Amino acid sequence: MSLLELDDIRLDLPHRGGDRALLRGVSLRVAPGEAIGLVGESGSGKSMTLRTVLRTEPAGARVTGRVLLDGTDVRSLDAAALRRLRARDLAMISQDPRAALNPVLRVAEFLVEGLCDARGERRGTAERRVRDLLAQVGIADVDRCMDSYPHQLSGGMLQRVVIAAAVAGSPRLLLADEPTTALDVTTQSEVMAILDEQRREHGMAMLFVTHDLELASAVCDRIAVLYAGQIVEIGTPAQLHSAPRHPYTRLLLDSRPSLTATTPTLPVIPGRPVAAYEVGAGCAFATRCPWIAPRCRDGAVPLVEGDGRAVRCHRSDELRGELVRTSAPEVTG
Amino acid sequence: MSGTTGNVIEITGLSKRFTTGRGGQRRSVDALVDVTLTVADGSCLAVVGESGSGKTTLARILVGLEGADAGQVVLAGRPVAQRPRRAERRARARDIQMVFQDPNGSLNRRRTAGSAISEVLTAHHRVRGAELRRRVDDLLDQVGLLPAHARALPGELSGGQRQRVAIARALAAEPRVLVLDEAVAALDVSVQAQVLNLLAELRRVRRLTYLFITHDLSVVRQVSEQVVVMRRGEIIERGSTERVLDQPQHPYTMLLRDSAPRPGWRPRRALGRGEPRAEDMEAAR
Repeated sequence: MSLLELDDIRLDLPHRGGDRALLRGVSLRVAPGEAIGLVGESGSGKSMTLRTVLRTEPAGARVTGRVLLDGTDVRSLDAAALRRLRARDLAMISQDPRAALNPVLRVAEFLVEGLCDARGERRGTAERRVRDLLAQVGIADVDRCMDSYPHQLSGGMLQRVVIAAAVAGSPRLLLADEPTTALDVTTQSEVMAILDEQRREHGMAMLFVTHDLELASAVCDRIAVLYAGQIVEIGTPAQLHSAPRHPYTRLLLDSRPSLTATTPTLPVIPGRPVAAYEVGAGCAFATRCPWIAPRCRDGAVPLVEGDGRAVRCHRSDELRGELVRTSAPEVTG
Repeated sequence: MSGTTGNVIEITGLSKRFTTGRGGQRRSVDALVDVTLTVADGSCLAVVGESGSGKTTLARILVGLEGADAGQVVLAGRPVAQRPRRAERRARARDIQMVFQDPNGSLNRRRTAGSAISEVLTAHHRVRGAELRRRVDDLLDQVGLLPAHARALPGELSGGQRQRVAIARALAAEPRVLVLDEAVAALDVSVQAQVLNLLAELRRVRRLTYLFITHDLSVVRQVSEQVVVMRRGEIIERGSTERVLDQPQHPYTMLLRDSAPRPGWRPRRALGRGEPRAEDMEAAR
């Protein structure tokens, strides 16, 4: 039984000169406790997918398809039921921790009140729990942190406070949208380690949005690669790294410079990432794909499941051998 | 021309302190502490560091956007005045140009790509009319854009195309040195590879010297021959890119390397649970 099921999510946004598609049929299942990475370049729809789960898509957006959380269709809930769901079952961590915190409340007030309001806990119990949580997310001086206003804390500290707030309610699903993109690399490593550890300890599932395939590979069970508002490939990090089945996944992995080796010229994907609304008939990646065949240009390409993974490419069977990365280093997980 | 040493950039004992607030709130930060480095003609020096390391202050002093408190900068054999006059700054612009992370900061959103480039051409070289248009087309071509892009406003271009225009604009002054401050950090992975290749090609063809500021060690490996690692205003390690990345000597360089996501990598806490981190203690003060 899936905890979360996205079924053919489409999202259109009104724009002068006609609606623009941002998501073109995203389908995905997340098991309880499973971490899934949504990886893609700008405009691929990774953040927008997350927002349809929380129902925080931009005003005026038309969304079709179903978002089932434990079998309940999140998209058809009334306002009160949606509030209960957000308070009890979901937590969101965004790139900017300041967006989640109230600038005029001290950290203690923010966290304790959150627990009292949303979970109906008593003040004393809530405060003890908050202290425990802050210590767990690596905050050394809990007293000083509790007593601080958000502007007095660094980005890394704030993101830890937001993680503490997110896990405080023991939600079943954590939605994380580039939670470490604004942080320094050493802080990113620390915050990701804490997030990963807390997620496992509390048995939470996670949808993790990032542009960084390596980062997603380190903390996710499976990765969905998005391109132009659709999932083009789903697999485990090991599957994607050693034997990607979609040309885009392969090229995305190749075009990232390596930490351990140089190359005279980096392999590049010609052109730029296309937006979902720019896609015509046929495969969205056809305009940039070195392995294009005539039939790639007509008709929609389905996402085909098999071997515990999925790929959206007409030629994935023929290209299977060619897309294997011989130089790919060992990936665990 | 540069001196006999073959160094285009020679920086000695550079220090800079910023003071913020007033009265009892007055605090000062040492952005640069006795920084000394040289960059050989035609080479690429990567400057690596996290926020607050002083890497951007170093770049800003080098191009003349900021004055230093102490120390000396010698650019192409000429000592650079601490607080340069307008004419000196203009002369320096022909030696050194800067490309920023956000191309929108150096492009006017109401002016076309073509006029952004011609502005720099006319400021530094006596060109007009057909010759000016030819030089603009030439620069666009060198950064992989089409003549038609000259008529586009920044808003009509993609992020990668805007960064290409910013690079073309910097090249228009025909500098010997490009300072690239996180110039590829905001680009999508597939576009970043294109721009990194373009920068490598331009360096080779135009014999440019780069000071490449980045937090990304994979980019350092790909673009540079030498690297300095900065932390809190100081250079804590320097050497050939290969040596520093393969056999880092300073614990902080090791931490930086171990924090970079790569195949098989796992995020980990630098310290055990509950131990204080100096950076956080400072921020919370």
